[in-house]
Amino acid sequence: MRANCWMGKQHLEVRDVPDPKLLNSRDAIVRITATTICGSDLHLYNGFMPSMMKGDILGHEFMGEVVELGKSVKNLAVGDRVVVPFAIACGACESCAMGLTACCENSNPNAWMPEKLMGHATCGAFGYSHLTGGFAGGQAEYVRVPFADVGPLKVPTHLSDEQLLFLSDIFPTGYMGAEFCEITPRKVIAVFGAGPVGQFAIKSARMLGAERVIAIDRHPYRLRMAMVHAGATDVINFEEQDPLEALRDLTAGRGPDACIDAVGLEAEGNGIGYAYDKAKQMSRIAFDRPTVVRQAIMACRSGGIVSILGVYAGFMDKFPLGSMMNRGLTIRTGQCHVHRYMKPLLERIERGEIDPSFVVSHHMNLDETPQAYAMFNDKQDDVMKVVLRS
Amino acid sequence: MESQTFHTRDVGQDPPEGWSLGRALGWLNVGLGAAELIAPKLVAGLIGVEPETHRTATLRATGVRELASGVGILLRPRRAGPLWALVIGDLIDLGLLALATRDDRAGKRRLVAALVATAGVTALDVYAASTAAREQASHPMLAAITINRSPRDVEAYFQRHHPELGQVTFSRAPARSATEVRVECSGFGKRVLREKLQHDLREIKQTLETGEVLINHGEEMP
Repeated sequence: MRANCWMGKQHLEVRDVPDPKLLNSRDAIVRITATTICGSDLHLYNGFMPSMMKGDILGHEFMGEVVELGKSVKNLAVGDRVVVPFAIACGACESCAMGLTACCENSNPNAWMPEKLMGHATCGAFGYSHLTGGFAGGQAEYVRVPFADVGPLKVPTHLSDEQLLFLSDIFPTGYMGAEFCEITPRKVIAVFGAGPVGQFAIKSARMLGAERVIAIDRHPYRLRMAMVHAGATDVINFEEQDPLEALRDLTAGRGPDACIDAVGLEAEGNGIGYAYDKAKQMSRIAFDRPTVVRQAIMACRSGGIVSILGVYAGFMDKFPLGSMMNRGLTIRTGQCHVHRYMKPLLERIERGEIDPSFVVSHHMNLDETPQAYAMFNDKQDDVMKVVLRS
Repeated sequence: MESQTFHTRDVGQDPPEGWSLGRALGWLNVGLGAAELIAPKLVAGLIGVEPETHRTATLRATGVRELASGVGILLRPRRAGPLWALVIGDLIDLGLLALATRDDRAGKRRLVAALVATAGVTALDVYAASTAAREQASHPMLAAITINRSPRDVEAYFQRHHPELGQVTFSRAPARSATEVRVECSGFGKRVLREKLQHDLREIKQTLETGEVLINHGEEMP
């Protein structure tokens, strides 16, 4: 089959690789009908995520048709149309039982690696380094799905791939970030980053009833989408305004009730602090560029909530713990526990409360995946979300 | 074999004799190292060697090594490793002193006294290192895991499939229906053994909770 393989920093190749096989009795093989590139894939593309190996197949947002099933999978049938959550979860461990499927204790065969780096194991994930199990990803024609009796969600045929695909990650992720903010009607929420996850965080915050949602980015086309499609009430272009000052002005000095970091370890910014972060990351002294998480903490009102959705990998420098402690902030974060959000969010799509396809900006062929990454990385052609098909 | 008791280990006990000796040796090395580094000519005179440039340079280098050894011991006084490093340093010092006796200009009486003193300290260092090593070996390490099944199920599984694991305890996890499993590792190489056991326990947990071990072409455990 054809698959998009990581060959090194900013070097991808669509290559012929062996077809996936059933390895466990709870596996399924899915023929992929649509896949896409996540903002967090860019951390792999740019070489910021440890433990990548040449030939690793990327991609953790995908959907398709079940073509083969292990003998223990009873709730799916060959031919079913499914969306597959990016996190792999067993459904039986204590974390899964609590609904924390992104903390599954049994789905990462390389558990010893995050145990050393992070203290405890993380779940397995598709196409996201050997730290998360080294599973082949979904930017391919076929994929093996472990614990297929737990993860894949059967989806109806009357909705398009573009409406359903983002249930695999970014829609639930954005929704979880908004849910973390404990939104009540009069709340003001700031969303740092108006990329695809940021758009869904904004849209979800509005769906949950936030009175005011402020989007922060530096690309005018993203800020436009945030206002026109996602429902942001205000926007801040941080190339033109200092986001902390602008947020203070917009909230009459209070700060937003909650701040969502939808950016992560490759944050952009201005000034000496940003140059310092960038120099450290480029020289591999640090994994993360924490510009946004610092701003989110400093901006948030006292007693407010900082919701971190952006992916971070390592140990943070100059973390404003003093501000967080003395002003009583609550940090809520995590990889998205996608499994618990997929069904309720599918129901919202079916009820017409949201059409997630508003983020789709490009359609390309699987063979063009390396070009799609370059375009997405450089924010060319007003790119938001590229849907790939073979 | 099911246990409902939780043990706290070594809380409030005085440290064993060997540890205070270790600390004393650590400070002794810091002092000696500092003296050799700051005043090598004075030390050369005390041990009966001519204070030539190459000898004072050697004394300074020895001083750096002894300072590092001393700090290493003071940072981790319960570990045998830094104490064994001290013994290796002692052997080097004995060799250097023996070489110095070939120099006709050397103060022989002082040199012999230095050799005897170094041999005595070496014996003390060997005693401290071996005592620390014995103490270390006698403290068991635990490989442990929580399995989301009842203690009865887990214990039955271990008895059926892993009778070779001798020292295993099972207890109900606080406020959960899960089971805490602890396997004791002791003796030489227990750190490596614990890593291996931890890996095996993960696979046992997977088997009990999900029915099988998840296979992937991922990284092998080192």
